[in-house]
Amino acid sequence: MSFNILITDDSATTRAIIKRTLQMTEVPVGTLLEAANGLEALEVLQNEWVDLVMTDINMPEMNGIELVEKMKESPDFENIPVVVLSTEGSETRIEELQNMGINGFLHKPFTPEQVRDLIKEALGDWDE
Amino acid sequence: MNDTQLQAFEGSIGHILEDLVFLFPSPMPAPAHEHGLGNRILVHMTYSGAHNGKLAMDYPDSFSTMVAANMLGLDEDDPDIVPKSEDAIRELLNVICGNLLPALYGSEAVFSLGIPEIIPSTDAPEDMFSETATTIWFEADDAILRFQYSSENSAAS
Repeated sequence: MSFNILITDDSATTRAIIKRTLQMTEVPVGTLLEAANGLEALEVLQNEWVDLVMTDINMPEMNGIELVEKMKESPDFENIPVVVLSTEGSETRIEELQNMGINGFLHKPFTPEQVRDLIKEALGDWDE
Repeated sequence: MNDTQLQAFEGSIGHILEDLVFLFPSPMPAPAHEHGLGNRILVHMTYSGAHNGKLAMDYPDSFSTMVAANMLGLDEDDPDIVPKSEDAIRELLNVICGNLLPALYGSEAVFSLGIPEIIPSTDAPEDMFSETATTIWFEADDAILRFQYSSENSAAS
């Protein structure tokens, strides 16, 4: 079993860090897909099979909150797990995102262990 | 900014430079001759919400390639580093700001962060920061870094 993961962040550096971090965990990754904002993420979702969306909040064009809203409105995407990795991590904002149905939140910067645990929280245990 | 807030400011910068960039910075007094620091670049951003304000870092030109190399796990001589260095510096300031604000104002306060912008230090408007802005200096791996922070309508300014 492996998971196709969509990384959505306007920073190419952060996308590269997340990719490298995933390689350091035992998460069974299939295809890693990338998007620089929510609009690009929705395009990827329409064209590719995605098991998990990892998204930032603060992005141009369409931010992470709007992306989650759009996904939850869509019968095709509403059940795809979403985790948020962001610098914006107030308790109020996290609660708002949890009420919208996200599956986990991680504050930047993060460790490989935190990313692994976040993905387990969202996707459940896998055979290691 | 009171002593507790100043400690939070210094602590946030030190913690992020260590955890994200693998640098171990030391606070330092302001250099006697700032104009002797050579060509400097400035990255700055705004934030809004519970408080509004600005955060900036100015740094020597070579610092951005070191940041990108460390964040991406690449060699500083890698030809891919230079085009990636500005994005890495912007992300560094973004993460520092995101960690600094809850340290100053508590975890309940909600903020929206602006997009960091990079300009030559010489192009920065003289009034970018008011006289009440907080400035701290760090040395990290031979690079001298200046951070400036200001907040409107707040006890931290």
